Amino acid sequence: MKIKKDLVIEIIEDSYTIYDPIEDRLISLNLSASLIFEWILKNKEINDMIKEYAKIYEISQEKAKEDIYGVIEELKKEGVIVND
Amino acid sequence: MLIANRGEIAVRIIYALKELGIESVAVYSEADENSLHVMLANYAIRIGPPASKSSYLNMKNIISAAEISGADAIHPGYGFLAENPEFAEMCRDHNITFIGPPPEAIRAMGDKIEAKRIMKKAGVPVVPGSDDPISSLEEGLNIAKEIGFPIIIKAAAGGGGRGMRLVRDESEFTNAFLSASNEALNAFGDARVYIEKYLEKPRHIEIQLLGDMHGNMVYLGERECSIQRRHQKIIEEALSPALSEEKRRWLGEVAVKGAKAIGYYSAGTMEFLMDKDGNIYFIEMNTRIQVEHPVSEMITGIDIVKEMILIAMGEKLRYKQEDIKFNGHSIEARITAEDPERNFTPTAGKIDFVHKPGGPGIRVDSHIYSGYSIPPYYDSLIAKLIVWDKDRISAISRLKRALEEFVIRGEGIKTTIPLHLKIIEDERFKKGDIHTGFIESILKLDNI
Repeated sequence: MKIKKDLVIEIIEDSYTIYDPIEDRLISLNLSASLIFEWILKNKEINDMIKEYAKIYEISQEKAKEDIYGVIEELKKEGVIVND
Repeated sequence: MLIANRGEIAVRIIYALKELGIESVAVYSEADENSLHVMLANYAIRIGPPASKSSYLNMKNIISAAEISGADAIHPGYGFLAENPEFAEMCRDHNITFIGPPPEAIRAMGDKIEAKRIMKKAGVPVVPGSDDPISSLEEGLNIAKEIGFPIIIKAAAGGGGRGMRLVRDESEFTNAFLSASNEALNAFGDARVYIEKYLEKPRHIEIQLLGDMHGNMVYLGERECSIQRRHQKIIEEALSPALSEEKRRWLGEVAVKGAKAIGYYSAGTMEFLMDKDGNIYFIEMNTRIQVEHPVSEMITGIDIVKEMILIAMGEKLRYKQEDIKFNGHSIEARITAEDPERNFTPTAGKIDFVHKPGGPGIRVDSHIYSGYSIPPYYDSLIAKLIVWDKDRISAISRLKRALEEFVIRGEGIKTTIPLHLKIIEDERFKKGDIHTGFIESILKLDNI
């Protein structure tokens, strides 16, 4: 997966807002989605994401996996993440 | 400059920006894609879905839109984020100029009890009553006698009418006090109450203020906004037919003193109630541009929106109090897409045809056009019809002519134009014999 080209990415109050100038659409992410998005920007491995997310939020790795994939799906739906 | 608003006020701000040679950035929700402010602005950014909380109230998205577009200032208009001190602070944190007062002043006036305390300390008259919550019957009775009946008892911990009693004379006091305290205890877990003078048939009078960051402030006269329905203003006029020149000067000076006490700058409005004996009391301060600002503009010739922008840029006020002259009379009718016959239910849908009235002394602030669809998500205000003439009677006559000429046609679209005509044709209105319960008396007499 990769981030769509030409997006304008801003950090406002510790979380990300993403503007798609082609679609003229602005979306803001909450803190946990921002963390996942940042890891995607840094090309972090999905397994490392799951481990670290589970540790930060003190949840099981299974729940962390579910949350991370949920955010990824949402970002795909919004056109922020596109398939390779 | 980014305009964090929609509808007629967004259009009004764009007009001011164009005349000042400043580029404008509109923000809009998915429901406002075909709005006039989007078409008129130099740039437009879609900030979210129709629901206000996801778009026009989404502070992060608005700040982000400002940063993306390179806007270095935000005008919040009225409503939405206009009186949100956190938003004003957020702008400051992001080096974006907030076109409005400092967040500290917004916060101080946002707390109604605190605002009353500050104004009382500054010498502004407030509705007489207990300064602190009362828990004993004896103390309550003493205060009630001191301020004079009728009085109103209000729960200290809450609102919504619970724990509230109107007491017309001393014989009713004990029962009312005990039942209000008991109701307050059951509803809010706190039996304490406040006592306040009850104002019967008061008039709503407000002072328009304009101040800069250098300590200069003027008042632009008052507006009479007594024609209201459920605290929503319907008709506003400037000046009030109820104030003498002497009283006007006194009230204006009092309002300036109160606003200066909180370090206020920008445009602001101090609202008062006037009882039937002519006593005037502060109720609250609105720390933003008001919907009804055009009537003050019409009689003073001052563009308040432009002044707000110049003040935010750090400029000194270009007027001294002696430069402010009041010329003629102006009335504004707020036209909403509501059905007065169906308890003012909002109506939405496509407007097939609009004809806005014209001719001398007529101004229409509106975002509607033929083919525009009124979205169901927001305030139902669709136009402000503002008239000016040499005196009040001539202005009423002009308003009648303009209302009769105004056409807004579309399937299922109803407006309050017939209600406005009913109001201005009423003899009491023509005489200026009005109060905040006037509309209810009209609606009782005749179902429109």
